[in-house]
Amino acid sequence: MRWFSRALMLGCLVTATTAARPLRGPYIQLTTPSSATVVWRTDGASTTTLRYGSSPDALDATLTDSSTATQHEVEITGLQPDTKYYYAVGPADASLAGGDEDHFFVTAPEVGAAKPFTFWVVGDSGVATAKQARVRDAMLRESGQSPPDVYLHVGDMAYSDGTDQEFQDRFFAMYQNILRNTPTYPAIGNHEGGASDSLTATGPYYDAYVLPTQAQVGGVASGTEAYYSWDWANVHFIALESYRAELRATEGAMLAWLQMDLASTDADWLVVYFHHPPYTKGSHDSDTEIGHIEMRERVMPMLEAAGVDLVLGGHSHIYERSYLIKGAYDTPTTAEGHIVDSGDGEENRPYVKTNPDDGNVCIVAGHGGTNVGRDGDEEHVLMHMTELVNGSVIVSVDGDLMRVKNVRMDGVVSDAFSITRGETLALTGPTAADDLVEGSTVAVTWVSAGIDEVTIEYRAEDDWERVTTVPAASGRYEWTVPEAETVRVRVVSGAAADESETLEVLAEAPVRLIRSGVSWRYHVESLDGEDWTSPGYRDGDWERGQGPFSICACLPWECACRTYLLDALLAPTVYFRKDFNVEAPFDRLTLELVHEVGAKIWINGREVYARSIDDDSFEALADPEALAAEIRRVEIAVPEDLLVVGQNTMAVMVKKNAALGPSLYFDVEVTGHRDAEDGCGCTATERSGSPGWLIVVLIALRRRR
Amino acid sequence: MRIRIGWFVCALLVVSEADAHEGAPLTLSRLSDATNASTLFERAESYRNLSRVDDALVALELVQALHPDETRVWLERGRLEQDRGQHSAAVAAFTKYLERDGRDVYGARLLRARSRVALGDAVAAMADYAGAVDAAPGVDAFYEGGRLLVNAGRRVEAVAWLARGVEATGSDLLVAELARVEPDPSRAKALIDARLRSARVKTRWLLLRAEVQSDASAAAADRRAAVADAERLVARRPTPLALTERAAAYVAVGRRKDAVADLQRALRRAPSFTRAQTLLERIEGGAR
Repeated sequence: MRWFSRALMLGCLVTATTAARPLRGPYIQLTTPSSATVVWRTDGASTTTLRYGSSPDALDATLTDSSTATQHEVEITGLQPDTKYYYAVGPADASLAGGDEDHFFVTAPEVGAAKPFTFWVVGDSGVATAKQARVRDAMLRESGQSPPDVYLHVGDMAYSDGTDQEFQDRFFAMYQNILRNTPTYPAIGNHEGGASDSLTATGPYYDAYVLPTQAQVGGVASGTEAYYSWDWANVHFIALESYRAELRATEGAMLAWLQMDLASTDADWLVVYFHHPPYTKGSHDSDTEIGHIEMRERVMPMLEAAGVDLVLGGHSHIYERSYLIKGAYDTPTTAEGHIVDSGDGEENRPYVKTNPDDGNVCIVAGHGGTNVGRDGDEEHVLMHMTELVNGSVIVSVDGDLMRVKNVRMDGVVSDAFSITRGETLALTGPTAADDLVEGSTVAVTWVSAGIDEVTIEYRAEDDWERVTTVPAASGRYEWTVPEAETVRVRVVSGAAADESETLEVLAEAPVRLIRSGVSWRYHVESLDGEDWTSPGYRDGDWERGQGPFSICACLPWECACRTYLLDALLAPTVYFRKDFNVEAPFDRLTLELVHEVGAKIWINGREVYARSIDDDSFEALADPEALAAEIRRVEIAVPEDLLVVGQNTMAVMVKKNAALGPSLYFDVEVTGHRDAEDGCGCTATERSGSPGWLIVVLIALRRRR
Repeated sequence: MRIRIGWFVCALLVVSEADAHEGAPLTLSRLSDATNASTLFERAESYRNLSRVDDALVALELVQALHPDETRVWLERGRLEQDRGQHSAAVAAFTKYLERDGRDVYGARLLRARSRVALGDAVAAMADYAGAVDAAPGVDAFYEGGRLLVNAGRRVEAVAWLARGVEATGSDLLVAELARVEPDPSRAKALIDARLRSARVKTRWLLLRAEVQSDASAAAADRRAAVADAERLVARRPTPLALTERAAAYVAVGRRKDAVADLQRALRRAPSFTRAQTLLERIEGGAR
């Protein structure tokens, strides 16, 4: 890595240092409880400066390197565990990126701490197509306001050969908005192996990442980025190299290190990932291909003896998820005697592991963006679930409970299961993503194991109020929300209890003013100089189509849209208009919005939202660094006279960031909210002194169960 | 007109996506008429993945016939010969590669070293390991070369070799190997102490330190501490691996019966766990 930096630096010394622009990143790498590494690349050699601090406006600490380079890697030390820091990067005299709410990192929790967290698992994604983007966006929508803390990639992130440019286009460009605040811990795939050499840990894959080779955050020092281990909270992660046969050798260093590493962890959970899964009947066959066979025969006995909980792989372009299994090392694989729990593991039927070596679940997540498929119709005998739809996997760990779900690119959670250790009780809903409306019902849900009954309670003021006691196995109770400003909900069984965060209670159910997927007027030619955002503008000659609207690098019928904007292939800007009706005033509006790339929104001619657009003229492009699908919450104070009772108009401008670029996407859902009144007759916003109208913009469609 | 242009661009996009090889599994039938070298190499790799070594060799012979300047064929051929245990042929192929191509020196010399080890030619193997790490400081070559030197009784060379490996890579695997052969107890202890400070499970490092301690009472204390640490791990995570680690600690303090009980328990839960099998065989063999 350092060699690479120097090589680039020397090669670019002739470039003017003041002209440097960001080519890649910034992105977050190795993160420990006391340190984090920020990496970025510039198109010309420049000095290195990183500023960081506890808020975007207070980047008080500065790290500088006056030598010039194009690959910049800065390790920040002396940080507090599990703490959010904001940052900005650039040469000393300029800021290339950062200094805003989007550029931050959170240091790792203390090793061993039972801190709840989430990690995202993607495999075989690196093709830079609409499918890959849809998989990414579906994860972001599903995650809502709680995006993953860590990103695991199980290989094949840069087809076809893992060249530096392929990494740029098919990994960094696709995930930039995630990578700038989420550390990535990859396992190499065979396609990266085309241009990178794991024996010497050289090539574009190894240049791209800064990985824990020296046990910086738990584990045993591997001395190589080809395989390594690390801890996040109470989970020990191990990344293995399954592509090079030389590394799979039984007497080789990797397996010797693995044995040593497994013997050196006492973490609550053990998660191991590598590219060639031990079990698959997808586009690859684990009964006939040597990479899979050797990982199964040589590695799985070691992992299972150490009590592995979750084994993640890719390579085979499919989603497969096993039962709770153990001891299936034969070739061909047989099921008899190896399925420990033949249940589905779904909520309130979790797989219970009394002993750590009671079995594990193997997942093939080779569906992150490539075309899915399989040879033959045979499903693997150990698999509970097999699906040929692109998607990714989200894993949440909370103490003794691990919850896993497969999120398809269409937003559907097609598989979900949990693993627990002995007696467990965990509340899973309601959450802040649910609308709690006075007098209406909301589902209280939980996962339990080893528990007969649970009592449901809520607290609106000081004391907990009992709601009911129900059999734990039911896992769900429809609860009528009481009259209150906020509530907390909990489930209790003996000494075990788990409670929700504080949840806001709405006086009325939100009103959908514009639903996603409805009809809009749109226009793809210049409207420069025209007052097209005003309510009275005549748009009768505009085209009509249903959202989502999109142009993408795929066949129209493969696009994640209902209206494929073929006319806009060469247009930098697309205009949209939609009338909507308001019957009575609202306290707040929520816009749940997905746009690619830049967007501006006006309501009744008044601008209420702008992102990545500096110039409204038709030919102007969005910010070239901007990408779609980020999660953001922006609150914009707007005057009370924004909406009128009767007909209102929303006007939207969406811009690409390259004239011939195929990427454009737009859809929105607008919801009106009325806050509960307290004893003095004030609304929540009036009490807080905020303006009467408030717009909350969530750049993600929230999927409701 | 706009629509026509649109469809043209769209078609280009479709073509470019089709060209972008989405990682569709490589099928042998798709490659059946291939004559270019890279496709033939892919064919050989596909056969190798299916353990069809003879077919893979045929593909490589085709490369050799059609593309006589393609030097990589010797590296791939060496790998295949090694896969089927033909180590003399593998050495010859790797040698031809190294004579003709300077690109993957580390890989070729590492693999040739392995075949030379298999052939019992330790001196030549060690020369290859040395050549490999001169080309690139890889953990595998340091680890295998170090074991070769230790097994050959060349302890002084092993210390220098492993120290170089630790310096180059920081691998804890190499640290453990080095501590075992380091003649200076204080230096060996310092190596281990550095690892003990951050280790969450200390059993192995404590047992290793007991081996290198010059003071018998300090060694005994380390063994007792190893037992305590292993017992803590078993109480927390009673896995077959944890039981095996505790068995190793029990052996170190002479509690052979307890060690056997742990290993038998481990093997009941994980019959294929070779480390437990090996340790049990060693204990029972020692008893005989």
